[in-house]
Amino acid sequence: MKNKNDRKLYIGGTILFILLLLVAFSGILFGKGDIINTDNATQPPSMQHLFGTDPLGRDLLSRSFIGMRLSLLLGFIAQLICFVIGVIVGSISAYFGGILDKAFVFLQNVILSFPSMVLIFCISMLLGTGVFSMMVALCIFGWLSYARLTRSQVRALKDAAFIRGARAVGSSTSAIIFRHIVPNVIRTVVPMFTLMIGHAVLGIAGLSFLGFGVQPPNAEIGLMIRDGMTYIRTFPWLFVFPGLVLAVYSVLLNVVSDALQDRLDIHDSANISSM
Amino acid sequence: MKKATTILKRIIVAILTALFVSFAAYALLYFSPGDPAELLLMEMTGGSGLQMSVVKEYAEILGTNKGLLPMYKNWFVKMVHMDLGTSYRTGRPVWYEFRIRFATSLSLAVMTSVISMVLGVSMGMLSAKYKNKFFDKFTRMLCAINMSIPSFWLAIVFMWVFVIKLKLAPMSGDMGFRSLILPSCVMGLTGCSGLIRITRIGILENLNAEYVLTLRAKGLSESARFRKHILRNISLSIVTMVTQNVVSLIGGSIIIENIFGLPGVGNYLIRSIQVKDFPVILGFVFIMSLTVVILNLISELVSYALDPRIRMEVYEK
Repeated sequence: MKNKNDRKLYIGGTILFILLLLVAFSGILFGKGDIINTDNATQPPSMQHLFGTDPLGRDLLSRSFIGMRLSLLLGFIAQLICFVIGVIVGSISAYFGGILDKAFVFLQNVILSFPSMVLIFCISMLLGTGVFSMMVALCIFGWLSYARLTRSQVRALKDAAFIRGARAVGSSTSAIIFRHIVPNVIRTVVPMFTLMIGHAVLGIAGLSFLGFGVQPPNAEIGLMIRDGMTYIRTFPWLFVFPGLVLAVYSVLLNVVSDALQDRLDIHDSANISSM
Repeated sequence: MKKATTILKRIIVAILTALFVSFAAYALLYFSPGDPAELLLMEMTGGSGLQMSVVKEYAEILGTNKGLLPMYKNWFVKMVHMDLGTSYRTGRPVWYEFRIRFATSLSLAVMTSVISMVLGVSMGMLSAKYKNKFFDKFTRMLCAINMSIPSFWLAIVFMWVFVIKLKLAPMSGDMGFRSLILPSCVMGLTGCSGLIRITRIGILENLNAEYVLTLRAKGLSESARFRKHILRNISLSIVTMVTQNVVSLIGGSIIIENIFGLPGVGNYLIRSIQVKDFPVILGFVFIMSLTVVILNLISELVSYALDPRIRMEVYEK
């Protein structure tokens, strides 16, 4: 069983790594993505253009990968911010408990009962439509998952023998939290990071699809799907292929994070899958 | 007695949360650029040439020039008296606007939940029964893929296949029940993978539990073991997950409503946000978040009813 899971991790990880390289070098490999050539408009998929071309004659394969690069980068940055905020807030609220913890729980309930799209709309009204307000919205929802997981872990850990020991030898509170508790907790939070990048990439596509987030003429999967939707009767490849690319990346991120979780033997999966 | 006070306390916290959420949405919009009177007049007249005096007068009529807190106080006092005010944009009562749209959103949510529950639980059971056989592997693979597919993409692909190629469903717009089938299938499919997973894992974990071995030794038949004991044990996590799905549908079906052109709550709320129709925003967000907190509360109460351990934990503190 263990070996099988390792195989999943290695195979999934390798494919993901190759695809990430492909995305990282998409600028060089598919630099021709933004060339407008109306003679070539709405070509069906062929050997020359594997995914076909859009109404402006741009190659959809290259645009998909360039769009994916942007989504992955934005998703990674957003999740990194969420990760840091979440781990800090989660460990502090669990370690000190009391009113801090109560405040955290209330804040959590408020955010969770905020109809998500409404908050996103309000933010983009306030900050203007664009990448920045999308990132703010992603962070407002994202940090909570890390904070919840960290909180539950720290609560279980804070009365462990080695923490009591550290306290007995006179370590300061910040040293206990950041040198002893956080390193122990991070192990559980890392697989979530991979998973949440997948979610963030889907979120970015969804928001851009609705017109918040990445704006044209940038290449972005959600935008491409929205534009393609107009031609649903005539040129279905305009939305089918970009969506497939997105799905492949997000499946792989899911698989890898799943395998990582099993590898690190985290039984607390209910916490993660509930997000 | 203790039980009653615990529940009462929960209900009060739930209402406070909903109030806070609606206030936060209102405050965010209040401070965002753009004057509601101007935005509304722009939408009505369709463009330029607005005189400042007219805008000012209109703001006076609507009462939008009073400042953040006085306006909120007005709304709050009215709300306590069961009056959500009237929409700036349409002039109709907010409650009426909500009611006619909520029917669509609610039926969509109910159909979606039924589809995802039937699919999720039955596939999860079969998957556990044929563990590591072809069906199980196939289902698990499908789940992994399904969880990572963007729902709006799936919606468009479904539309392409079922509406344009096979001509089985209407394209978009409000045609009653028929126009809800496709969107609820899409969202039901998106929601069922989580259910499949927890049903399968729950059954497998319980099958290996010692109490099931005891039941078997006692001579209980397989179906009785399953129905009376295992299913009861996993029903808790299923209820929690279904509630969570419904909760996420309340605000999250906006994209799907948009694609299929359904006249739901979300679509209307978005248009109101764009012109800063404060009564509608406050009222809608309040009712929506109240629904969310109450659903969460109900799911908690159900879990107390289903699981004596949680009951002990909560009531005997």
